[in-house]
Amino acid sequence: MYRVAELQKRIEADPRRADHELEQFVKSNEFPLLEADTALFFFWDKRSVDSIHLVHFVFGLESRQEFQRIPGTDAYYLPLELPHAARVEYKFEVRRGGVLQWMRDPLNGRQAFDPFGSNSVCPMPGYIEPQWCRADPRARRGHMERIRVQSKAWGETRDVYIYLPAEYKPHKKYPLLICHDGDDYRKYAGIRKVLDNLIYRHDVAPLIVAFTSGGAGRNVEYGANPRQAQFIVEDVIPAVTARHAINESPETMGLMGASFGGVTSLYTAWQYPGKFGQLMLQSGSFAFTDIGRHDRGPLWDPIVKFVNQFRADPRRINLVPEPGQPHRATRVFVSCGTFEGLIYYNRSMAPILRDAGMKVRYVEAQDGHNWINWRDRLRDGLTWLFPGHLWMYYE
Amino acid sequence: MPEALQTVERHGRVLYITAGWRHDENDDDALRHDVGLEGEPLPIYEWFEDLARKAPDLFEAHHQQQDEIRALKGLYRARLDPAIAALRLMLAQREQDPDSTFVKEEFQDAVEALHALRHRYVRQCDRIRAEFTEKWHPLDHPQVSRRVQQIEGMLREARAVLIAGGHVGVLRNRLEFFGFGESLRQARRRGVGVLAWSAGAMAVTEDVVLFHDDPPSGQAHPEVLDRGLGLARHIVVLPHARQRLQLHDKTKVALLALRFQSACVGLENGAWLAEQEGTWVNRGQPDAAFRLSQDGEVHLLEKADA
Repeated sequence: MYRVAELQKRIEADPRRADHELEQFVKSNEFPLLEADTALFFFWDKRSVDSIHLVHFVFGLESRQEFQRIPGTDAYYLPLELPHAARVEYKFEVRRGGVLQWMRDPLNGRQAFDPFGSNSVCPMPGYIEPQWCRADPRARRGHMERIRVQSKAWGETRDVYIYLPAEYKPHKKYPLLICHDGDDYRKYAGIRKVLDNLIYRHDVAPLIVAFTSGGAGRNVEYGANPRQAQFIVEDVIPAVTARHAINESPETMGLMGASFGGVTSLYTAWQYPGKFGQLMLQSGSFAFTDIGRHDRGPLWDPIVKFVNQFRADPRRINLVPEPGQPHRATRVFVSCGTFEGLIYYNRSMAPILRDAGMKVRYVEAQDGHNWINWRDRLRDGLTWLFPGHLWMYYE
Repeated sequence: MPEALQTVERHGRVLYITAGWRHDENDDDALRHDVGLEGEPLPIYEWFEDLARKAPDLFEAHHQQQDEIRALKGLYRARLDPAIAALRLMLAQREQDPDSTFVKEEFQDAVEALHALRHRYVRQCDRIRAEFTEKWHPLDHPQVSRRVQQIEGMLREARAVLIAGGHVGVLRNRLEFFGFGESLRQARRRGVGVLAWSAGAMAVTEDVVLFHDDPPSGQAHPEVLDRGLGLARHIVVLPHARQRLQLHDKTKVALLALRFQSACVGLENGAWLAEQEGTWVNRGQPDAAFRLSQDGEVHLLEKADA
């Protein structure tokens, strides 16, 4: 707030120089302006507005916050106190001449993309973009191939993309990870680059990843739908194993997904107990009711019903100990942003999984329901489920 | 590495071992280029994998031996964690109260407990291996003995043996399986140079120590993998230590150095340590080799005249 207060003082002292002062202010600062634990959002396009609001996706804060005007100018500002390591995606809602427009912050070039477009990004000083997200010229690139899967479950042909690690050898058997919303994980979370980097660094064991994506009715398909689980187990896995050597022991068979993708991952493990021993659940939409009905609409009916059933019998997805493997257990990675409305459900999930005997890693981040949050947690999740030989490699 | 190779006066072929690269053992174009045309591989990873087809019983028995060592490792870790926690506590106490006799004594006892734990673990590994050897006599097995003879024949004609890095467990085990400890010792007496780096350098020492202060998951205490070939003595080799260790953390540095009687030496790219009359001298870049000291400091090894 210090710098905008100084600006106001200068403008008040000499209103004729307001435009000059604003030009200088905009030129000499990066926006949002970060001062201590406050982000200062700023808007000035030399035209007046009826109103301007910050629209963000931080659960717990008022989601639409009004800017204040600097007296005597068409410049607007909004200070927002945020946690030190927070990363916030946002837009400006500008009403001008009765017309409402959502726009990215014109003074901030940082953007994050998702299937609906893009948002501006405010990373607070404690947020550090993981180095392993960036292209590493030393990392050997894995191969990506597209296969067409004739699905009995859906009665149509669907594309599945298969990631093969750079070291892929046809005679070796690899773990298999099924990734829901695979197109989005590749496009918005850069998962291919992440896999290349983490495998190269021996953080993660070489593995095969099958990227599947929902059809037009993705939310219905992923909402605890038995046909989707059937699609994965009876269509996708046989198609992958027909082409590549997969180690089909449950310890090396994994499912992952975010949001509804997390639900369908858990649901598929539930429908086929003993098949999958590795689950990566990011910001899962694990809504449940302890009593009464939920108020989320009919799309959520099967989800709430399933999560309630799951909470009553979580052991069903745990691997059963075997002779020689007394500590055999399903490994689960759960992550969620503290700015998500789903944080309550995900926090509730971790102890249930642990109490059911599973090996659980639960991670929170000061971020929202978005692809960068899910990208930034990939190392935590993948190394938990498919740890590499980092400890053993010295090259 | 070419510079180090030039110091070997003996004539003959240069042999190289890339078993640490596992399935990529034969992807050795870059190494061949460095060595020159005279280089010749010793593909011991492939030879060992061959045993799965040609001597499946022996192969399986060896796997069982490794499973036993892994199980033993689990127990070693279970004892290591509290022993390190105790030493860490004593270290802090000693800093707070440096003149206390009983703190000094308890501190010393905690250090010795870690040494004893390491010795016991390595002895138990030896015992498991001895049982395997007594039962299977692997070096006498026709499929193995012909390889051993082949190795010894190649060593007789060799000028130097290079041992590259990679997966240190695989590399160490393959070297041990084909009897390289003894055959390389004899070759060295004949003047054959042994040049080893990264995991290769670790494998030729007495104690192979695994380390990483910030692994993405799991525990982070350095631990002994097993006994090495013992060709390089009185040194614990820590390749790429700047990347893998938090060298600014004096407590961590001290805890690591205290656990071994041998010198803990970090090696970076450009490092070259040579054994000279029983001591190690630095012939590489001056800032690429450093010793971790028991007071938590890191000291560069002074460059010696060649």
